[in-house]
Amino acid sequence: MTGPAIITKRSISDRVHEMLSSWTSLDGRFMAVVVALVIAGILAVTSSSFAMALSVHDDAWFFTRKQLGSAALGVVCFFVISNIPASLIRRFAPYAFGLSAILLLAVPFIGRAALGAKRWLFFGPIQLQPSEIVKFTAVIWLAAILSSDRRRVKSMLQHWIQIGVIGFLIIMTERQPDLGTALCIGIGVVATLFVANIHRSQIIAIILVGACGVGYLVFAPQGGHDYRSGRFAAVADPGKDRDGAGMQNWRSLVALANGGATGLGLGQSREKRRGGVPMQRTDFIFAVVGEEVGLVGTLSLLALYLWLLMVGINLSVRSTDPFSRYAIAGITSSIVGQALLNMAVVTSIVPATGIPLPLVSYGGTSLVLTLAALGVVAALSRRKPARNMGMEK
Amino acid sequence: MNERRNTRPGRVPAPPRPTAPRSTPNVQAINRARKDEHGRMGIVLWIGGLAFTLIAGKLTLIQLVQRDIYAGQSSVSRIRHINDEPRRGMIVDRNGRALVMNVPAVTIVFDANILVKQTGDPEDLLSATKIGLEEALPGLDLASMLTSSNEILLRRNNARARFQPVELVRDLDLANLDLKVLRKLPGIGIVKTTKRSLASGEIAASVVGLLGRDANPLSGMELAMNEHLIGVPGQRYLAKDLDGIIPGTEEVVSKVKHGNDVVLTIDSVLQSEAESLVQSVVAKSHAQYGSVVVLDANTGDVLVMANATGIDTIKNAPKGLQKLLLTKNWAVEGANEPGSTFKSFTIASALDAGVITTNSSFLCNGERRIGKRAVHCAPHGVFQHGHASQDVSGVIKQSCNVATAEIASRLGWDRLTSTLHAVGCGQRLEIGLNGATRGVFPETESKIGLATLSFGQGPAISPLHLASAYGTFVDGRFRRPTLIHAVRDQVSGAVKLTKRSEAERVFSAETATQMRSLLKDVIETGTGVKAQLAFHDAGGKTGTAQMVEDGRYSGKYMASFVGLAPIKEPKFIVAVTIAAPKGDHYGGSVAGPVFKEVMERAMVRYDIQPTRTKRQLSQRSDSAGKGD
Repeated sequence: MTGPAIITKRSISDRVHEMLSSWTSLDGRFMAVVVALVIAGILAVTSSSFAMALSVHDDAWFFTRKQLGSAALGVVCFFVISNIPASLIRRFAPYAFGLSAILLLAVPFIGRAALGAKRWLFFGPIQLQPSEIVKFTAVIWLAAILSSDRRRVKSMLQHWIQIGVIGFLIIMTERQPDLGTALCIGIGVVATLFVANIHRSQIIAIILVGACGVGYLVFAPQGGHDYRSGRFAAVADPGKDRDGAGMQNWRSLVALANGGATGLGLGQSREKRRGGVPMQRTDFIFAVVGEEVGLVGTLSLLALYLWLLMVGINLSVRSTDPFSRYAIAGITSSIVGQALLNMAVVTSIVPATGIPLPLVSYGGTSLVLTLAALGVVAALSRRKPARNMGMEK
Repeated sequence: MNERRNTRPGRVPAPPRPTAPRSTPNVQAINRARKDEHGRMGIVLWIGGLAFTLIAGKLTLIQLVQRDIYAGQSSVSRIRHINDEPRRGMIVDRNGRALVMNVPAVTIVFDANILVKQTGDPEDLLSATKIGLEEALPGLDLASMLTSSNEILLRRNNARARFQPVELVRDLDLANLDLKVLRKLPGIGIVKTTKRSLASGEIAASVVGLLGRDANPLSGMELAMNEHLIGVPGQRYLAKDLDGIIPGTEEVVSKVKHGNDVVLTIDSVLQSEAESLVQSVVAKSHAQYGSVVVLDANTGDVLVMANATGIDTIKNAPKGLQKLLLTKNWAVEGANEPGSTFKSFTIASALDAGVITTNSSFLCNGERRIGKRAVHCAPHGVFQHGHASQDVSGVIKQSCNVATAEIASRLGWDRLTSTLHAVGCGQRLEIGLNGATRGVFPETESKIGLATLSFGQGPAISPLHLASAYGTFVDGRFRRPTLIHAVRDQVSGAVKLTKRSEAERVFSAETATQMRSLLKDVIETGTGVKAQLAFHDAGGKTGTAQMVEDGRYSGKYMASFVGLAPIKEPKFIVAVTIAAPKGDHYGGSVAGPVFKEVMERAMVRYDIQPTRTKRQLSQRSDSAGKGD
């Protein structure tokens, strides 16, 4: 390959042209849905946080500014990663996974507890939730492993060590305790296994095992985690204990209902104020969206995620390389699955689990990592390898 | 090119189409795998679609179908019903100086329920409260009002019933009070209130009246003008959350209408001076009470209505009445026989009717028999056996009962009583105060009744009656007194003036001029010499009447003096009444000097041109001022 020689000869204008062309080689519909979600997210964060920001920080734009910064960093990550060749991503997948796994395993030792859970690592001003990273690195690593298995119907038993390691990390995440993120990792992993054509009976078995595990966690009487069964009861009848266990559910239902068909108008949410919807700019931002833009808005946001899923699956189907196929499907499923889970929580379909709405909820780690993961999708779904663009010219 | 790409490390070869000629078994297997995978991806889409449908359905249910279950059940925006309490109007004097206003105050409450909930020994908590209260409010002995520690202990074990919070001190002045310290005491609560407070010096307290607990008016203007002062509460609804009022949620049902200010005709400067004068005289002479009324001679405006109640009077009264007695408005509520001050009306009426002239001459030998009864002139000074022969000026100067009775007999019952009615006697003077007295007026005609009426025995009038009746001598017209000048909107300042009644003619202007000249003689050389002003000519009449107690004459006297100045063009009418002074009890000597003081101050305050230069007070003798 004559690569290096040719690369050194390229002029700056060539490079600029190359970069611009590299954008155009990204899928338009995919870019549109990502941009739409990020913008919707910034609007929602602004609207849901300004009252609280004014009250707590005396600055209505406090959270918006931070979210805009995170979004900018996320977009940079997105474009940088989207320019990495698929082969490189595949090669680095095990290392990325290994690093994130070590971070996750370090949490119980050097992590910091907040709100009754030990989920975070702090490196100076930087705050990291390793489980969020593992969510994506596990899927990419799994895609790399499974894509090397060329058999038509694959067996998990062939990769039991790797799958076991991922399972262990999911359990570690649950123990933090963080059932929500554990479920999100699980969704991405199962989706990856599923699209990689793992044997049907093994898929059913792994889903059953997961369901039993969740069921046990929710219903088994155990010290320290009793709030989970209470949350389950709250979903069954949110109005019963409005100021206790059912508070989150009840208040988000009130907010959604206040919105009605067309909502109270942007910025007009009443329930976002103190004493109303809890975690109104993070886990329950969907309720504020529902109050401000009504059913029209919630269904539109829902449609955006459905669109993301469809675009993602489409990109996956069009991809020629198994690694790209599995990774794209896995990442997309993981993100959309998390969104569905979050909305199901807000609409009291499932008990509160404490996960943000991807790309929309306030929170830097989540936004940057989700955009980075979508950058991987972009990189893997380029119509032509980026490197060859200049050479073809 | 294609070859190169396929051989690059890590690059999966592009799958050829199934129908491609170069297909191998391996490629076929890969294609079958992709087909399977496509199927799986379809299932993923289906599952996703199902989940979306479920959530979309639930959203429709919440936001559209079952909306009414949840909507508006917010725990954020609790709607509050707010009653806006109106500010009570002020009572101000004619120059806008506040006589009574609202000042912030606090009520200190002790709530034993707080101690029940608190941990720690109730004994310790209570003693902390006791010490704190003693430090903050020394000398009030509030400790006895606190609940005992035993009761608190009992209630801790059985927390069913609640203690009734106890009001320790009500409407306490904020000055010298450290609320922060008080608030920290166990069980102590502080409620902000407003307190009605008289202007410094408590000027015109008897006119302003009292406002009791819960803004319940008890007397005076506070009671009479309560409807104007009180205002109308406003009603609002608004949504509040933990951060306060949510902007844009306020809904005003009715706006608060603050009470109106009441503007009195009182001149608080003159009032204050008159009050201290009358108070000192009442105190010095151990009188029952005293009052001074000053009227504007041209309008009938009440410039001063000063009252003083003697210390003994208050001491002897039942406890509940003491406070009310202290601010009793004797000037309008106290009715007494006027005595000799009434003679002016008999003489004026006779002059006006033409039955006498100023040159008419009368003989007094100290007694006049009327049927079986007789009227007398009290012997005084050089007049130990009647006043002998005298003209009209002499009659009024020496206050001769015999001659006045003679004049009255010439005048007749009807003409005298109609004159007296015309100057307001026997009727309530409506000046806006509730307790105003009608007085007493004899209804049945009799010869002896006519005689005694002519010199003021039998009827009863208030000091205000006396002052306004003497207003007739300004120009022959009677002006009803006015105390409420206007009602003023507290917010906009818009003033609604009180409608004043027209002056009614009683005597001719000529008669009035003659009367003023006669009244001047009283002060110059008659019983009223102690009322002479330094720089102005004044006219007036003394009165010394026996006070009626329980329907009979008592040994107490009512000393009064009423007059006008300057005599040519009167500006003020001053009536002074001192009830039951001990020792010297003559109108001329007890009330006269007060008249002089008040009138002189009025002259100075209103800058009235002097009508004479200071000179030796004339006709001073031992008998001066002793006549009745």
